[in-house]
Amino acid sequence: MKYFLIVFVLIAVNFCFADDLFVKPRLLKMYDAPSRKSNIVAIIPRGEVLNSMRKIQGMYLFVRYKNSEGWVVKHSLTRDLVEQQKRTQIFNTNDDVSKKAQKNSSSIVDIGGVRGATNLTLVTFGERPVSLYVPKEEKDFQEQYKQLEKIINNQVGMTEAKEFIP
Amino acid sequence: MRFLFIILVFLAACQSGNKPNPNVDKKFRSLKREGELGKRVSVRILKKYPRYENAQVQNYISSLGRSAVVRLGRQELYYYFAVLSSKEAKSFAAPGGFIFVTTGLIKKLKNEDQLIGVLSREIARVNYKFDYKSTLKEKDINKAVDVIYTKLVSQKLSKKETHTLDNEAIMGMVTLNYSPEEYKPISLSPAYSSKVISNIKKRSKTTDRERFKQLQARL
Repeated sequence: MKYFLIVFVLIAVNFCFADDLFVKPRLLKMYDAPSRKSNIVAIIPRGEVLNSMRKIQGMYLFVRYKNSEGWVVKHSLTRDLVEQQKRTQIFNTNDDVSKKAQKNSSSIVDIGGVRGATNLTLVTFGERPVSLYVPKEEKDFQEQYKQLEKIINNQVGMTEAKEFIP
Repeated sequence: MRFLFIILVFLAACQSGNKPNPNVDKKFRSLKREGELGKRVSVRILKKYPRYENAQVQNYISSLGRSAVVRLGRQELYYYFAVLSSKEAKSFAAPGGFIFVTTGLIKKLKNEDQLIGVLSREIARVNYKFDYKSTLKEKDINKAVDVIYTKLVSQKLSKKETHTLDNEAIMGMVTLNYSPEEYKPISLSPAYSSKVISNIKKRSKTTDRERFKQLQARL
């Protein structure tokens, strides 16, 4: 009975730590062998979940993604769900992010918007023109701040721009 | 059995205990700082070289720049492009993705390929943060702005930096299907650029786009 319990615990440990790993870079290549020169099995977008098969060779980790299995660079994966969610908030478009952007619009203006989140930026800049805050020590540059406002507000939308260079 | 249950609960707790990563907040802060620096530096550039008041010219540069940025830019930034009114042939890349080109420079260029070369070089300059990497941690923002501004106006770059920028510009032109050959006359280090260009296998013809001639006619 004791042995059975130990085996059961070991299986349970394995089950509990079944690694769900998230893809960090924008696109991650999955190879059929642990080498960059080998064939690419799949290209996985950011935020996708991979199952680690607990096989490591050098800097490569053997993983399963949907129906395919292969090797990926292990540094490109994260176990931290919170980090991944924050990354997704930076880069992806959804209503929550849009609301957050409107709430923190000054910080979005400060960082010049978030390019990856196309809709978000278009909504923020398209519907509500940006007005820049002029700090006290920058009063000599008030006219230039107006010019900069014009530059920010008169940019061509991303979808339009994409067609400019076919 | 109780013992087993406790172990299982403990393991489940371990699994769900993901702490937020402070690096992500750091990234937000550094982006905000970069944007603030960019705003202040851009304003100083605009004082010396005012914005060129022509909507069609501005639209052109914005469209061209933004379509280049889709493939060459940093994911987290939203780039801005503008034409400045000046006879001097200059281009600037302020922190936070503010990219400026003077009318003098556009007049000097032969075709759109060369303009794309200039823009992709400036995009690379923002991507690599050559002009302001060292000042991002400077507490006094005015001091940092002065350092960046003088560096931008003087256009001083090390040999390694010019090589990197030239390389990125050429690669950008290839990515966007423009002719890298056209980059030679505008490169920062011509010898290095021609070496890089000679190694490129994929070639494309110089684009003869009417829209660039129309742009030059408007200046």
